[in-house]
Amino acid sequence: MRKRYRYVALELASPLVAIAFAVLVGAVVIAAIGKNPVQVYRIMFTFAFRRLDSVGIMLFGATPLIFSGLAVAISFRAGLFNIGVEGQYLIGTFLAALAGFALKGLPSFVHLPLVIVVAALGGALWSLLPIYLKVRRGVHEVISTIMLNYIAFSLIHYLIADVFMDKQQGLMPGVGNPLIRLPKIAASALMPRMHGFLALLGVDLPRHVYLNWFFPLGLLLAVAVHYLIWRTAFGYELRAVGHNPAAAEAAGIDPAAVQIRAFLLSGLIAGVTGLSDLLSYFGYMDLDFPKGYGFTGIAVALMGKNSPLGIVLAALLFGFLNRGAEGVQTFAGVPMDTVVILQGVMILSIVVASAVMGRYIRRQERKEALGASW
Amino acid sequence: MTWRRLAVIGLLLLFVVAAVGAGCAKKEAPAPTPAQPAEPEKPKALRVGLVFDIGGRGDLSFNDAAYAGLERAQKEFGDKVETKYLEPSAGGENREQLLRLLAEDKYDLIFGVGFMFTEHVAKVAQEFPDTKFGLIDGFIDKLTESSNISCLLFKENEGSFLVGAAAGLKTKTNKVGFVGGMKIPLIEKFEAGYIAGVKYVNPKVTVFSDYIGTTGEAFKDPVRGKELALSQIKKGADIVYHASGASGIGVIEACSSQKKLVIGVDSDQSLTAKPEQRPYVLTSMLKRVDVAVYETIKAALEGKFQGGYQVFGVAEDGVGYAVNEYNQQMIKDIQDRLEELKKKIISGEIKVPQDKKELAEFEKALPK
Amino acid sequence: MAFLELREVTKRFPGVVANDRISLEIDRGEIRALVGENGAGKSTLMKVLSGLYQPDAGEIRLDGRRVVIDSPRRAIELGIGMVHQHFMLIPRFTVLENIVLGSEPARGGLLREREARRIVGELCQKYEFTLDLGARVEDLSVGAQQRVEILKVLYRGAEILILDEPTAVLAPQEVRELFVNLRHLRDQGKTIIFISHKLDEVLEIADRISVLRRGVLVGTVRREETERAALARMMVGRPVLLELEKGPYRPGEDRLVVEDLTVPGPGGRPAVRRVSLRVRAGEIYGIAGIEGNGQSELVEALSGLRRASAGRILIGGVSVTEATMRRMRPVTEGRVRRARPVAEGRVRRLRELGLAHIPEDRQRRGLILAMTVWENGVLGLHRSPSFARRGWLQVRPIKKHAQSLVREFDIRLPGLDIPVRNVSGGNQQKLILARELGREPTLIVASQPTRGLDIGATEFVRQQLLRARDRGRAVLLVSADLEEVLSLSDRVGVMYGGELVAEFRPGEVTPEEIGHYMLGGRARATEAAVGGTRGADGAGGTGGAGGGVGPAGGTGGAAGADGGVRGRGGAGEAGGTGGGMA
Repeated sequence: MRKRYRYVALELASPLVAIAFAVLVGAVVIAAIGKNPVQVYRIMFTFAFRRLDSVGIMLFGATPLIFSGLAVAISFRAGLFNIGVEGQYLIGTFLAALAGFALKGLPSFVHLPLVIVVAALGGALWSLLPIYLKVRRGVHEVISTIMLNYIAFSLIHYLIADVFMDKQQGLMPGVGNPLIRLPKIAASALMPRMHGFLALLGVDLPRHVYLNWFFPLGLLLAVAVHYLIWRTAFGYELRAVGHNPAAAEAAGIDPAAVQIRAFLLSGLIAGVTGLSDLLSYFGYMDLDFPKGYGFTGIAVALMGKNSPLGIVLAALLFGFLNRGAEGVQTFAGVPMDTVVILQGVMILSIVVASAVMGRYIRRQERKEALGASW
Repeated sequence: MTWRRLAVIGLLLLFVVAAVGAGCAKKEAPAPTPAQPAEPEKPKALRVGLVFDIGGRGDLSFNDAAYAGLERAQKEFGDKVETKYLEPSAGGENREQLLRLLAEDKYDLIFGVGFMFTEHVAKVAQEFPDTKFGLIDGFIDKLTESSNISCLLFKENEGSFLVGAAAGLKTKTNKVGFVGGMKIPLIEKFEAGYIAGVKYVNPKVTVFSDYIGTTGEAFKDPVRGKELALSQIKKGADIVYHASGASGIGVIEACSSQKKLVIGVDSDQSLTAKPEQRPYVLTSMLKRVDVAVYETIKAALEGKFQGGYQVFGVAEDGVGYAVNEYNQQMIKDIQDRLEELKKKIISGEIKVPQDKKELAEFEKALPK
Repeated sequence: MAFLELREVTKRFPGVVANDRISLEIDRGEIRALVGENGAGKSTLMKVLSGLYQPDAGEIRLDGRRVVIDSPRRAIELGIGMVHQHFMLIPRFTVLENIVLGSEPARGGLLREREARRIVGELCQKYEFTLDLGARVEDLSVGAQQRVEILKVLYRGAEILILDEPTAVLAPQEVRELFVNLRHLRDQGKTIIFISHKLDEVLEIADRISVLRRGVLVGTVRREETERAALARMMVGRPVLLELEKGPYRPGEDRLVVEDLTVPGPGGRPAVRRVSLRVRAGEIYGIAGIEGNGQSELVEALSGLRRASAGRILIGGVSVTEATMRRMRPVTEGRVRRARPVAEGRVRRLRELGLAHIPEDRQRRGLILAMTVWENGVLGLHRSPSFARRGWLQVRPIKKHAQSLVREFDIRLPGLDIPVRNVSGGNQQKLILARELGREPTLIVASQPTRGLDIGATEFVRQQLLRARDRGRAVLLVSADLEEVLSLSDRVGVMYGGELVAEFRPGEVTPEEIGHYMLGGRARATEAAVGGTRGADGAGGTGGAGGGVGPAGGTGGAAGADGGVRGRGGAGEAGGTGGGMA
């Protein structure tokens, strides 16, 4: 088809148009608080792209979102809505932290992989109940995963604050507040950062950038998920069940079995989400461990249209928005509330604009296909 | 689907190009010169930066108190200081980056508001030895007077003891309440001091204790705060003390709507409450974060900044109870008694408990 | 002068001209049939007439005056009423309430039921409609419901009635009754536009017939001046084979045996009751019946998608019921939401035994619309060694396979990479057929295989089924289209109320009698059917002997009728004498 080139162009243009639209809407918001949009945007972009540490921080910030986005996308593909990535990664992170400080004297090449496996299993564990309830009892997974999120929050709080809290923190008698955290993780379980490797390539990353090997691991995982979905028999069944369980069933695929596997896989990936922060930034888990990666992961999966490569891009975009926001807040004097609104508006307009473009393209395709069959 | 994939790859390439471009650009201009509107800078103005905890300004308690200190310094010292405040993202994962950005931007004195900043302040302070840091509520080991970190610590239990005593003296039903935010040792310190104060003056009183939640959300959930306060009132409580940040707005609302008394926290909440709520604010437990911030800025300005630990208890006037034009009449009758207790704390005659265990011992030792 | 006149009416949709300068003249008191394949533009034209669409060009004249029909309300004011294919009635309301709904004679907000009853009663009398006005619509037969719809339109003062595929849901008797009513209406001066693609009906009822093809009016002919083949040629644009080529009937061994099968329906009540039948290699066994009489549940049970509660199913001599009964529970209704145990591989096992299933709802059960043509080409085969190796899809062989399916079954597509969603209905069905028949199955269960297809595609599908039969496959054909069942099948069973109430060879029985069974004429058949089964099991010969008597006599006693109805298996074996007898 000659016309296909037009679609390539359109498809390429779609996110760009979306971003342009988002920038435009954002400008209105900025102007509304009496700042100069051009200047704010300039600060945002130069801050994010002209500083090496910013680039590294963006990649670091995108890392957990790649994992949570992939976890959400896999469940989406199977026709399930895993809202529970949030709880799954907290449980996974907690168990990893536990394995990280409790096991001592292991060599790093055993300890680190072990901790990662424990995290993944923790996530899968937390996804077991919802999918069991779904296929056996017909309980909608959205309800059960939301509930399990709350249970995870409280359970983690209890386990950290009341059971495993690190009592060895030196405090002055009578004053000061201990961090509510687990003991620090053994060095053998920490994920090395990428500084050494990048130095070989001539990139001298500042010390305060926590970019680590989970980022390339996330990229690898995205590639793996891509092949899993599009090139394996299981991926085929996953998509079939996701699109039309009735037809899949008639073709001899067991929808329940496929959904169980897909959901557990989603949980496995979700479990690893928090490790980039845990194993190369904090080095311990505290009550204040970053929350919300699961929910942002839903947005990332939506923006990435459930395609692994799209998810990587969307995660990078979030990384950029967050880092850019820091710059805007610090150097352009835009208050945090406005920055949050700006981020929200940009995400929303990207989603809307790309949906509109996508629909337009699909309509064109359909017209062409029908035309050709006549 | 090939063209779709092409599009994605194209975009990815774009990103990589941008990143690489950024890397090269960095090498050409090694000094990070953040874009700043050129401004005729007055020489030697002390640059003071402050990073709030999650929630930021407008919580009418902890963060706002810190801001009040900053504001006061700005007002009093005028051109001699230059202030800026930042707020972390909702997840709080960028606290450290914000501290670092301020340090990079040559701020001389940087505050981290809240004990969650403990590790981050420690790390960034090490990277920027010439920058001074104030850490509120957090404790970092092995600091000396020459360190570039000053931990600003409060004896919240002592202040809570005083307002607890006020509640114990004022209650008519012999039932009072406590609403905490997140169940963490810091808030339990408020609770222990409060209960000790109540029991010290009036052993017959029952204290209801509730916590809003197990996540940071607990400090910004006025709806839940209101619910808990109402249920305590239903059980007979006629005075409720809250230590729950912005959630306390709901507690105050609940009490004033039921015509019961409420005790505020951190800043003087009579002043921030709505006019129709004021008659019901018995007093507030003042935790003078504003004083701590102001004093630290002042010391830095005068070149007297001291590393180590600054402890603010009743003796230092760092904690206490609020008296203002609105509650003067209400607490006039018990003020003498409260002052007397204050002296006892300062003299060490009363040792206020700071957690559950100490509270149990304290109660045992009380005269029956 | 024509009563209703369309002049050069044109309606365009993006990329398509649905109606291209169509001019029609319809007289008062005429029954005009509008025929054409799917997508020919019939519905669009009628939507223009009933005010749902605005034409892009052209004009409409009513009684010589130019009119603009800009809303359905305006159409009704002008006396144009539409009787929809899917009834728009409220089941819990009475007939009367449904008829007056929306334009009740009222005074001061009070419904004047007596007056309503009088008006509607007069209408019934005038047009000789038999209807119990007090009955609830949910208790009525489909034919009676349709009369309610027509009355509704008449009550609103329609002079022109548009009927969209009105016979699609009716049994032959009901069709006859409808035609009687329509003729009365015509004789009283009403104008009727009758949309259909069933040529026999059109030739029976219409005064003139207009044929549309691809948005263009091909021509209008008088009924007396045309015949089936000519009409079909006009519709399709090329000669159409209306008579199907069918090889000699040489049945082989039993491929499917169903014994006393009972299957629960969606509500848990049995939807299939004690059905017994057998389908043999090299034959097509057709199941006729009005939809909703248990056919769907029967097919689902046979294809492993629904659990039977009693009875046995044997495929190629292997009992599959134990497996099905123990491990299956009612499953997929819409999305997967019913509770059920994990039962991996039930359907797959049936498929491995050689079952091919052409589902009645092809978009819901047969295809995954969002996936591409090549992916759908191996749905269900994707785990077979030639298409998956160690879990990896072998894309090249799969695409090659799809290519060969497309070639062999003449599926017209712009490419293999497009989602099936973007393929026309006929080509979708061809793809399913290609996939299922391409597996070289031993038993084919085809449910409503030509529903909604145009003539060309219908012809193709039927030919493929016959070809499969001629090549020794066993085919179970379920269809609501009686004509289809009769013309394709070697043996026919009629389902009513979940039971197989009659079984015969086509030609043994008149359409009237079949209609009688379809409408629940059990008195003559049921008891006998049970006895007949037993007999057939033992020695089919005796049943066959009686078979000749039943249909021939037409009014033969109970014993004769059931014998004739049930014994056909024997007759067939005896060398196809059954057909000769009728």
